[in-house]
Amino acid sequence: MNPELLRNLWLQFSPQRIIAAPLILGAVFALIASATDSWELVGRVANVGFVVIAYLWGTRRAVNALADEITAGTWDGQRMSSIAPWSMAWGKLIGGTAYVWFCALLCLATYAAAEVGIGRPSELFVSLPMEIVGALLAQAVALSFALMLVGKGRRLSRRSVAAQGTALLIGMFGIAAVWLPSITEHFGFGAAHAITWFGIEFSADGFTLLTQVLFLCWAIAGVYRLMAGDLQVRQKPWVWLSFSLFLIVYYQGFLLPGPGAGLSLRFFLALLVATPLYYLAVFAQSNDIIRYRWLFHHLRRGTLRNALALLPLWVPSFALAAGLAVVVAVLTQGEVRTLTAHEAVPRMLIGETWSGGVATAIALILFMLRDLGIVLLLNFGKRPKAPDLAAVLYLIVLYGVCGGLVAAAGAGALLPLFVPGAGSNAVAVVLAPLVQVALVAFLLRRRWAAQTRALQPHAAA
Amino acid sequence: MINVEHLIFDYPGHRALDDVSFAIAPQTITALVGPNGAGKTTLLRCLVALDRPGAGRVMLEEIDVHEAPREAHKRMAFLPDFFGVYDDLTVRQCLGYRARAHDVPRERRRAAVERAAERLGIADRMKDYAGTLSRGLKQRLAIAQAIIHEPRVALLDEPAAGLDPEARYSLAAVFRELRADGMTLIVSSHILAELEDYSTHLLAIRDGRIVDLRALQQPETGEAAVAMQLRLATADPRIGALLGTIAGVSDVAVDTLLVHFSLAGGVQVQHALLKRLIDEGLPVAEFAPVQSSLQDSYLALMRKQAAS
Repeated sequence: MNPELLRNLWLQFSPQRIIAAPLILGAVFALIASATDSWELVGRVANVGFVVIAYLWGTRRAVNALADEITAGTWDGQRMSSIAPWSMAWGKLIGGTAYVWFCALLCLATYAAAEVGIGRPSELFVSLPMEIVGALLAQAVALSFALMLVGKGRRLSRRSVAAQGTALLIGMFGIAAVWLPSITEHFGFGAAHAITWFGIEFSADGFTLLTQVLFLCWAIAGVYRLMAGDLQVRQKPWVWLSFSLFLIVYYQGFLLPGPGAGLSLRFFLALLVATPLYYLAVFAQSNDIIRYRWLFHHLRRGTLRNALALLPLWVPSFALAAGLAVVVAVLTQGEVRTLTAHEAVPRMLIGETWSGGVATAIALILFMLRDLGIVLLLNFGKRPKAPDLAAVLYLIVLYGVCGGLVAAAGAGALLPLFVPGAGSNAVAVVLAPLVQVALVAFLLRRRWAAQTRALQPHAAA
Repeated sequence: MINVEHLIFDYPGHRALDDVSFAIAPQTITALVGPNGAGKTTLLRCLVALDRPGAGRVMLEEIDVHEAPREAHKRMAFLPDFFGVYDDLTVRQCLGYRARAHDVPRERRRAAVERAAERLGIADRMKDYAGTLSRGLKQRLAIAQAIIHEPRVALLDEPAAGLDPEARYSLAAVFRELRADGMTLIVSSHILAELEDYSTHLLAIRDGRIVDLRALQQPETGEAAVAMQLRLATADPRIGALLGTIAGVSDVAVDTLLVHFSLAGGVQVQHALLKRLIDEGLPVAEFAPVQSSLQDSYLALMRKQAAS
């Protein structure tokens, strides 16, 4: 048996706890049943109980499966063991939440019994797997989030992780609830009750389950990769790149075949996916100066294997997003008529108040570089304090506050400074971010030199 | 056993290990000493592949520990300064878990648990919860957990911190036994007197650089001059003059009953000199090389480093 799973079972399943869960939950359900005589209400409460236990408590436990080890000083002992990354990953994911699942499955069993009791067993075939896979997905994301924080050298305090994890979950649900229907409904790719994906019509529930399963696989892959990294197994960026391509392909599925789905629109949608992934990659990993120093060292020496292990994930993401931006820019020159069929999306590339596609593509690439520079500049400080949070605030101010103020003041000439591609003057659209990139690069170079001077010279390596 | 080659480890704005190279012989106990912030803990963590250095490599026999960390961990043990045990598990469960985590085969697992507990003197506590143990017993449990898979090498960071003198004494005995069983140990500590009890080698680090690595016990066949101390039962004015006539003797200093001098030539010369003194009728009560303490050596070394 997986030692990590076994240890968690030892810790969580005392005889008292094994007896307590069914007694307490059984008493609650019995009380509701006797007071209301309604199986439907019992089923509903049991279902809510499952969601609360499996999603809220479960994600908390998944995070604490790691946070508790670090707090107790046992994590180094585990890292020194012979447990392989994959065994450690699933041992923590399933083991850390074992008692949660024990309680959650009691709720789910009650819910299923109630549904059968009121003659709706058929609904269980969809709802049960959806709820179980959804909870597993949330827990896997929570654990990967905790591992990501550890990889960034953060102290894993329960409170901060809980707060950030909750924000992450709300964000995920927000994206799932808002982003997906907005695509499907806005472009008429499918109604809410039926979703067409790569020409295949799915029921909304069926498609959600399929999506959950696919994303669960990726979340587990993420947990494995992050765990392997923390166990000092060299990691290369292929998994991240594969995930990026998967996401691009996933969203391509919502485009209907036919003349409306021209190449430029396909690439534009890919760019819409690749750009946020670039920013996610920038913030997901540690950006301390030591990593970059050794990366350049190995690149100079030609020890590519070592360099690849240190390569930040934003590098392939940047290459992907920048490449897509260029392709979109080139394609929009020849597909203007086709693109007008989808006014809402491509207008920003060819519309009256927006510059040409090539200038916008260059501006987008320069803005991505400027933003990266800001993040690195803050991370390369002598004693950086919450540099990523500070960078997010600066970016919000630059894009949102300054951009909004300039637009509100009617100073359209200044807009290219804050919004990629804004304005009709192609030269200004490119020059505005270029100046900012140069300024950030200059500051970054100075900080790099100051930090490098602080390190003593060495002869070897 | 362990070969460290050009290890470099940086923290932002600070180089913690600067081109560190050394070799550790098998079945030795090396005392890793140095002032606070010298890089002791960073070095130990790099040696066991918990932290990856920017450059250099660590070879454990034929294994590059940073290329194959899981393979290296099968042969290594590490007790960090801030160690933890699972308070809600019994001692037997803690050890059983670690045996499984280290891939100890099922048929040998029970024996491994019993042996580790026996070695560390906690066999009578197997049913106790780890959280109920005293600090000293927790330390023993943590060491038992670390070595349950019979590693070739054990690295311990400040293992005696917070222990009372009796617990320290018994810990020293444990280390000597582990060495006698064939294990190689590297022990980092600030308590030099404790290290002196069991260490065979001294590895001194300062500002991220190795400043000394040497055996603590001088080879008995050495010909180099050693500091000697002689104590007389009663004062005898002849001692100074007599020692001055003997070949190999130098730096004679007489203080009534106590005489210090240097003697070159090894143990045979020491034997001949003692015989001569006795034959001359001098009331010799003590005659031995002066053992400089680890603390003396360490302080002298650090003073020399600071001066240079």
